[in-house]
Amino acid sequence: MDDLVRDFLAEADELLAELERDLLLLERDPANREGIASAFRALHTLKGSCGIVGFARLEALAHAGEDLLAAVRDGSVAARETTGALLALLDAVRGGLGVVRASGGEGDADHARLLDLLARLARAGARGGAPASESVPPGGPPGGASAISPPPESRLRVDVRAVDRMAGYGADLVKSSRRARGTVPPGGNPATDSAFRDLDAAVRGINAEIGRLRLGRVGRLWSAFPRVVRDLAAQCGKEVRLVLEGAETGLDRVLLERIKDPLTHLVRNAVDHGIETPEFRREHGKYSEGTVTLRAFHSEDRVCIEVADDGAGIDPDRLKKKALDLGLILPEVASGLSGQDALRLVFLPGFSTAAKVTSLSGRGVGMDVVMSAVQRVGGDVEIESVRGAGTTVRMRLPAAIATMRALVVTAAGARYVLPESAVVRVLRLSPADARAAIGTRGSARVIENRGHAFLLLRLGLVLGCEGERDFRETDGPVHVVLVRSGGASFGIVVDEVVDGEEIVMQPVEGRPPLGPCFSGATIMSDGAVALIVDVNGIAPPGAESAAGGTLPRGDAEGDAPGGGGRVILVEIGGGRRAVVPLLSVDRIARCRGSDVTRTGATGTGLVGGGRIPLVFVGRSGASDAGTVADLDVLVCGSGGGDVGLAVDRVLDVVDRGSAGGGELLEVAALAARARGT
Amino acid sequence: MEQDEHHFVFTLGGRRFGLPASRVEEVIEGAAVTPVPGAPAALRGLLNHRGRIVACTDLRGLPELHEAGPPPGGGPRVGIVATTARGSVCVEADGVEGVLDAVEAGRAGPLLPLDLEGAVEAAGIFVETSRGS
Repeated sequence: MDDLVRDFLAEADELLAELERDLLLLERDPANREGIASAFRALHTLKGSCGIVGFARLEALAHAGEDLLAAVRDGSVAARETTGALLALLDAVRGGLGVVRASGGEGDADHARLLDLLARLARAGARGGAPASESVPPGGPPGGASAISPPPESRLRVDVRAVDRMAGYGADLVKSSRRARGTVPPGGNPATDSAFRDLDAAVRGINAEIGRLRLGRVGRLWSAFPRVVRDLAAQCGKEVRLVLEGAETGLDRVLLERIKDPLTHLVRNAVDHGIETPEFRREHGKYSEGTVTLRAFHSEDRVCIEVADDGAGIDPDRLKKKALDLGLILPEVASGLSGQDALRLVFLPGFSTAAKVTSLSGRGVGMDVVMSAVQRVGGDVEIESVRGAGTTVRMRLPAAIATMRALVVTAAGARYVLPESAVVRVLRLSPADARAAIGTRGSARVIENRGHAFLLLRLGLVLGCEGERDFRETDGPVHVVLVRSGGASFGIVVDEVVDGEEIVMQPVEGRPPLGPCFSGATIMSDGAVALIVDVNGIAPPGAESAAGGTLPRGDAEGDAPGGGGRVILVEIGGGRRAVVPLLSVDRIARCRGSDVTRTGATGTGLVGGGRIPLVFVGRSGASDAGTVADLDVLVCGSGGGDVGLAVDRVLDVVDRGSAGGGELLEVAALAARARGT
Repeated sequence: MEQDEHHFVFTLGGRRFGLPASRVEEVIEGAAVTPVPGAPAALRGLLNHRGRIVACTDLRGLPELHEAGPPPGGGPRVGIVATTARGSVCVEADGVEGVLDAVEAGRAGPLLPLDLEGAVEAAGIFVETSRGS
């Protein structure tokens, strides 16, 4: 496909979106002059574009529509009599564009009947005066407005793939710069340091600009929904008003494409299952017309997209019963779920709340598919609902898909990447701790952690790279990454947790099938490709029922890193607070003061049945009696065995940005101090 | 196969194949290929080709090659990075003869023109037919 046709398709998509919006406006408000003028402009431009690329059939359709709209504009045909035919025209052109996309040509679809209909409608108007098309000022739009303005010279239409390639090079620049910096001792040469600072600034600037190039407006997504809601509401016999907010919000173009399907799913659900029938609404004191609101906005470093309806809301008890009936959770789990926790059950694979399967939303909600799609791009989905008042589903997305925080692990000799947005906690267990904490439930392995049970799976086994073996029978430490996926939490046993790293999610040329276990791939700092694990894709069936390990809301929200650097907020004596990167800490233990020996700022403590070196952070552990008070110990295991950072109290796990400015502790330096190295 | 004056000729499974020379981006050796567990057998893995992630394919599953064994001597194989309508792909080969014109290419023995798009689709490497997921 040559560039001219590619540009034509991009422009035609935008014009059709505008036309659709205008026609739907005219359907509600037939006298809206601006709507008529705008629709005319869109068709007029489309006709010209079709002519330039030589698509005569599509040009004829646009021309017929233009004639009809001219008759509407002149007042000789009522708009309400034409919108159906014009929407049919729009669908036909859109179908034609699909053919162009697939084959490069416009195909040989027969539009004779539609053209005839459009012509008859236009003639009905023309009977009272000159032929409609003759009344159009040559080369100009109706109303005298300069609608077909030349593209501003300051703008370029750029191939998205070129921007993707630039993003790849930008990511390479970051890695190369880091590698180069690592070869020079810091502070050794002021000129070199200054050059590196300049280089860093330039690399950051380039990547920021590339990120901006990739941004598209959420309004591009919004444009499809007036028609979707209109058609769906008519099919369901419902009255639905669609409110669109935040169309100017910027989102990575790749993300816009990826969330189109999940968003459509949510909107269909809202209309089909959320909004009640007009009769029901009136009987319950509501307006007969329901409202579905699509809202986009920035929240911290994320972009939120909400689908809210003022419909019937979701009954948490009904969700629990359904989950029990389907065998997705155990009765003791169900009884312990709060109403808010129960709402998250809709994200379990195989869950369906629809009383009947409808052709509109398929088998009920399919929210696991929505969750999976959003998690694949490093986002998360939240749900809130009030019975009788409505439901809000919120997708929290990274503003740019280009980079994401990730945990690098190894399994069966290969390196894999886990999105940090799915990681709850990282555990490094000594063989003794592993034997104590890991048990069996049926044929499954389960780990107990902070009072909760998590089903365990071995990554190498799930991926088919190694055979079954008991990972408790080991001489070395057992590494477990606790993750949350949709409604289930579980543990992934890996050979090693290598590092936390900022990665660039890159498209794979030609999109080969990577299977359900992987959401994509990235190029690591050493140049090799690593696969990004789709946590939802490897979630063991029945994770909730097998382990009963659902996280209480507070715990789950507190521990799940939201990307952008999660930290543990601690109290270190004297009213001071500090923060520690979450991924630097293997586990947290409570240590009694009587189990601690202290000499100055270091000492040892009895943690998990063994004695480990401690470093006392700030004034932690001090008591009026001169003895050591009880402490929380952040156990870190990287290199040289476990060491503990002793703090007065662990307060919370939060985003770095919301930690309130607490001092960031240098874990490596403190660990070295604890070891006396 | 497109009309092209020059063929890029390579060997695989004892057969000689030709690709339009204009489609070949680069011949690489010794590239680190990351296997994709659970992927179709023809997808050998992914590799980093000048900052892009490219699928590396083993076309021994093609009907023309169903009797093909491992490469002679089991030595290192080469990768031919070529352009398709869907993006670039790396095709593993046993050896490369080079860029030959039609007469030269035919003189050395039978040459099978390779329909690259068809081959990678048949191998299950490129399966989507529309944009988006």
